[in-house]
Amino acid sequence: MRLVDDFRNIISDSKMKIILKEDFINIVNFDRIITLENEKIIVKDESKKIKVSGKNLSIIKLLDNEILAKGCLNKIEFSE
Amino acid sequence: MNLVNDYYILKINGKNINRFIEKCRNLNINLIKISYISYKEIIIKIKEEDYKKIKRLKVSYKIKILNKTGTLRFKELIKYYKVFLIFCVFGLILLIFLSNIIFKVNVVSDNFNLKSKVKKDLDYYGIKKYSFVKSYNNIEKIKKEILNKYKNNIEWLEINREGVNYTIQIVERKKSKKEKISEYTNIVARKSGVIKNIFVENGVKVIENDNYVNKGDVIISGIIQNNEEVKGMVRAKGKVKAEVWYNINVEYPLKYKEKIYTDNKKKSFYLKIGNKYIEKKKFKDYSRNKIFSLSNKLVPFEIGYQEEIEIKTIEQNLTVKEAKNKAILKAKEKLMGSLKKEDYIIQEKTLNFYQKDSKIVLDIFFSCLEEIGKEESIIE
Repeated sequence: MRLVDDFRNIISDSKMKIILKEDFINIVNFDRIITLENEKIIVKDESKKIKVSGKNLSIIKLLDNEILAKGCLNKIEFSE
Repeated sequence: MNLVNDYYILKINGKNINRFIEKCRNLNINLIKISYISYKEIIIKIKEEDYKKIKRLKVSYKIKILNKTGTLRFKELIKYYKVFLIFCVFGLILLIFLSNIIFKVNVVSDNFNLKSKVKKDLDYYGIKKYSFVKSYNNIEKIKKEILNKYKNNIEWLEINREGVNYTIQIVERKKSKKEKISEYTNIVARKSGVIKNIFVENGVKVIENDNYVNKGDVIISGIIQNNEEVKGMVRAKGKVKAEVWYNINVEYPLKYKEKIYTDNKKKSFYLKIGNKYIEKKKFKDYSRNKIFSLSNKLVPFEIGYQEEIEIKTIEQNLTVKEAKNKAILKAKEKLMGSLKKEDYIIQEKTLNFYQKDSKIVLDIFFSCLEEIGKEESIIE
């Protein structure tokens, strides 16, 4: 059954994921966006909040469950 | 599932772009791509269904459509070129329609009567001006029916379509006109000459021996007369021998070359590639007689078994006298070929003789005794 679960995960990956590179951040499978500003972006998952701080943050992509932001990234905070 | 990606690419202009993005998020608009031009201007890519939602923000922000993708773009192009496309489609329909109309029917034949008859039939079958062109099967059917109708008059008929014209070619059946010899005939001269001997089987001899006759002169008449009064008519029969003169011009080369087949024969296998033969040559010069061969049009080579017959070439330099004799012989052979079995040459004489380059030229006079009688109907 593990194989089936693995396969299901590949096809429909519903867990929150953060992809971080030098000047952009991609967050997928979040619940909702709390703040969307030039210097901070806060999104909320089922259990935790993720706060991305930086300068000149600009949204490149904004979908229901995905956000792609570009800019000078300083800090990522996780809180309950 | 939408297989075609229908997207709008919009340019948004406003004071607070971040607020616009915020509002989009509140309206559940998916911003697939955002490109920043300045803090007041962005270019976004959104789905077709989201465009309706974004229209609500038009009051606060300036929204301009830059481009569309997928079927949206296609629909836009159709809308833009609507008039042109309508004309194109209409033109195409008109072209197809006009190219399927017959504008000219041309019947080619020397026989005017036959031509007009066939034209009427073609009209009946629908091959006429301003009617629709016919299919191949229909044409074949019409051809068959016309040929059947005029089987005694038409040898061959072809209906060709040349664009919007039809050309009908007719080859008339020529009836063999065998000269029907009537019941009453004369014997006339087939050639001019001096009469040497007349043998009458039926009819009346009208010319005596040693008289000159021209071609067509009556020699044995089928009309029986007594004191210039016609007593009756018969079918003239008989044989007329006359001396006929011929002038024959003949040329003969002084260098004589002849190929002679010897009795030396050998059999061998061969392979032919293109026009070249690959074989073991038995003779220097030979003629090939294929016994069997295997070949196919699709294959560029042929193999087979052959018989080689040796050829020997004889080259001779003739003296003028020898060449003259051979030339006379050649002229005789040429003349005898046109004479009947019982005819023969009485006399021959060289009238003119000269040498031209590597050949000699002779004018030879021949006097022959030959049968010149020919049966001809009496026109009453």
